[in-house]
Amino acid sequence: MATAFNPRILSAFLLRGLNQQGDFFSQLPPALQALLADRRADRARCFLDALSLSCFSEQLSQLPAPDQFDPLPEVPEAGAHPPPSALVPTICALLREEAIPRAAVLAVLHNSRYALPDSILPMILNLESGEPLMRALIAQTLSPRGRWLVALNEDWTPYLLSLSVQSLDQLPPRCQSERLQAIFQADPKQALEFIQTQWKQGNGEARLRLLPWMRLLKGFPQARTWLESVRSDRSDRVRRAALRMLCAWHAEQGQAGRLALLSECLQKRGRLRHRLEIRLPEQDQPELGVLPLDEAKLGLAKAVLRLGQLLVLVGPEALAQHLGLSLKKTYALLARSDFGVELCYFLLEAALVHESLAALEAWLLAYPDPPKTMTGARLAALFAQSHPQQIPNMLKTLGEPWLKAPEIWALIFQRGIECDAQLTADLMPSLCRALRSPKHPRSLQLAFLLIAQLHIPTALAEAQRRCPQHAEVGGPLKHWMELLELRKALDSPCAREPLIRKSP
Amino acid sequence: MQLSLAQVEALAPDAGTFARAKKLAKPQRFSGIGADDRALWAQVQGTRTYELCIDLQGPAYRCSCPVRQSPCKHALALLILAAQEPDAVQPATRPDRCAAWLRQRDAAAQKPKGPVKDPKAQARRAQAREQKVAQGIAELRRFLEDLVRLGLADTAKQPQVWERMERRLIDAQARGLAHQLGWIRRQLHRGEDWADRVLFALARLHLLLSAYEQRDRLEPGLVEEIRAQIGWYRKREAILSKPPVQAHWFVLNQHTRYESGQYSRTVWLCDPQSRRIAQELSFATDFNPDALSQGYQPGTQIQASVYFHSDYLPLRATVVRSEAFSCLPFSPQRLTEIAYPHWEPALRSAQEQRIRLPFLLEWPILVRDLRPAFKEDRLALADQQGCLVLVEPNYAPRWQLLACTGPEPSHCFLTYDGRFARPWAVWREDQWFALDLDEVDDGDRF
Repeated sequence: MATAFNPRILSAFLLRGLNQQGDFFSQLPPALQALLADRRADRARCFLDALSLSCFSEQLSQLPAPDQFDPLPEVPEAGAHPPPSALVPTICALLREEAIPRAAVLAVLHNSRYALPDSILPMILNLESGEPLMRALIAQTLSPRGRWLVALNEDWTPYLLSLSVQSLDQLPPRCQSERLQAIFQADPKQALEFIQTQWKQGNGEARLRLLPWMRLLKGFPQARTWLESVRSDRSDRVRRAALRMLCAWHAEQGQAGRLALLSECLQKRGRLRHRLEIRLPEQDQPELGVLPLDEAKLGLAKAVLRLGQLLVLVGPEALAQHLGLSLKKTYALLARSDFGVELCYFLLEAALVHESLAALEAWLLAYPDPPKTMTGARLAALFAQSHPQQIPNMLKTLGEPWLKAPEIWALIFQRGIECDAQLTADLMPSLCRALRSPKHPRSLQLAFLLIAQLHIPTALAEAQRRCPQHAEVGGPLKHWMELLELRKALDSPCAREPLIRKSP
Repeated sequence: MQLSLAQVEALAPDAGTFARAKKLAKPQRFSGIGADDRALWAQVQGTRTYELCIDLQGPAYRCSCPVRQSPCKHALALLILAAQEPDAVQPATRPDRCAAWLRQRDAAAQKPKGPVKDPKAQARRAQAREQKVAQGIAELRRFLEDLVRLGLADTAKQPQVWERMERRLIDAQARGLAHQLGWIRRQLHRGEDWADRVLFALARLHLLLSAYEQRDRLEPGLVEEIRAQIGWYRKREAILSKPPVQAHWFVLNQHTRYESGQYSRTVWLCDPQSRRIAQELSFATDFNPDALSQGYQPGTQIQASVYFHSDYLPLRATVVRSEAFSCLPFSPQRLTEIAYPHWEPALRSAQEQRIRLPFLLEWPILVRDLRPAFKEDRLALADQQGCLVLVEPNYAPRWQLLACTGPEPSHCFLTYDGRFARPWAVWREDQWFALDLDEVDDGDRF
């Protein structure tokens, strides 16, 4: 009888309809046939009766019994914890507030060593998955449970790329290899750090498995240095494998070929040729990471992109030395070329990757005003790769036009970088100008971000005195003040208490 | 008057209106702000200058703006301002316009509901309605039988046929049936298991019609429930004439939904002392926005009198609060004590209620120590004994649920429809997480 009244059987019939069934009744279990036989004249009504009965009886017969299921992975223990629950409504309100950037709220949380509250994680993760800098900020403020949650949802994979490498080994093993590959492709520098950590912890077999990953990292000087150190590894197999790779590596470098290509690109009058049909010496070895620059084949944008990559690989100082020019002249030459605007990003990246402040200064001289293609987000993304101690110096070096990007200030928050007194003094005039100019709420936001960072009571008082007179500024100001209050509350010993209690 | 931002947010008809109100909540936008024990008033600068008055005892709102929403963004903005900057609201003498409106409200409230003037006419009207409903039901029967003959796959491609039947039921004054049919129409070809959902819904609808046709043989309490499902509304005066349950009620969660000019709000309350759960449902349209019940802040406690609509199966209720804006913090510990320890007793209880009322849509239950799990890629909740109940398909706040619980066990307030669980809130120790069901787009399931 239980089979007779299984609603799934009736469901199939209902989809097609009784008129289409033909020998519908003969297919039904005998018990139901007997029931329907008496009322064949009104089969539809009979069917509905049987349907109601079957659905009702199925619902009543459903009592759970112990069952097999896939248990969810454990949440890793290490990492920042969510803030005290009393502060969660304020944080949620500020994150929903349009008048202040979310980056600022996230930065306040991160600097206070707290994570995003668990209950709003899906909302934030869904909102911000597209913006790389925000992704990085959010990834830094994820609690262990947040990282656990991100690993469960395919749509949030981009966040995993932004997670610090240390948190990778806290992921479930099945997610780890996939994510690792994605991270290698997205951020080789981070990947190198990860390999080095794993290398130290793993045995000979594990180290051997890690070695092939180095192929992806061959553009980085640190990778080469490290690989050379690997030659003295205690495992013979690893040592030999590292040596083989290093020999091949040196052969593949092709630095001379790249330099020749670059100098060929630069014409006597300092202009890049329109058509970049130059063949690289390594072109017949595509697996070695060579960069053919045939514009006809690649298209202009990709050709310039590859040229930029080439510049980054070669490094600014090597190029200047090869050309026999100073760094400033080399940068000026490239900036004035036909592709000067497009190369702006790569020239800065070259300066940052090779950690050359002289190159950075040369870049600033070459580009006194930021070109449109050089957005604040890109600039901040480059800064994010730099050493935190370098950033105050860079800020000093950068002129005011470059400081208008909120992303830069979000980065300062994110890294918890302390700006020194001299820099503060230098920047105060522009801050005060921003405060006096209520027509520029973006400048105002920047000003407040910096004020919040530097804890300048006098500037705050000034802001409070000036801004409430303007309706458009009063609102944002109010929220900034809330943010500062939040920061104070998070840093207070009372807020720290739960953390102290939770730690073993 | 002490207001919090969360309380004001709970009053908002939707998140968009609240966001707009927050932008507007600046002292510069208001003039003539004043308040007394009963009301709060101001003039607000919008496209024009609007007169605004809020009766705090209701709360009820009166704004001269052309928006029909209640509360409108201006009223919410004034409440936000009062919550965030209490100094901006100073005691003052009530202006004439506000005083007159409050007098009108008082007069309307005190107006005695006199005896029926013409009992014969009333009986005639009742009989006429019975006939109209009977005609509507007969047509719905034919519609269902045609559906069975022609097949769902074929009929589902013609939504206009379904809509015509819905309109016919509204004309026949059987709004409850129209609402149920509308829900089924919206499920057609939606999601993977739509046929399954529609099958159970049609079965329930057929059962309801059969029960109504045989109402003479059923007990009066059940007949009253059946009539309510079909569309006979219980009169407020009749409900309020019953003895209330006066207690400190926990606000478990609240869900407001707006669709096609109609608001619906579901509020779940629980009194741990009497172990009762109450469901307050209210509906409003753009034309009578005040009909929506007052908003509540989940995770708080209110002092209120709860009038259950039926003694047969006390669930749906009307709530009368002692003070409009008073909210007390509460410790969920007391709910943990009354929650079922695992699935089996909880579902047995739900099934007992279903036997009493077979077309019951869902039954609220509190269960301890449930942990999320996946069964063939479907989200489920497992108890300490390893028994599973699947979470309903298309459950929108699934990630919020996982974020709040993690893989660890948490206590859960949920509704169970006979097959699937629908979590509304989870808690652990002193932390209460109300799940945001506003994302759910089929929230008005029947």
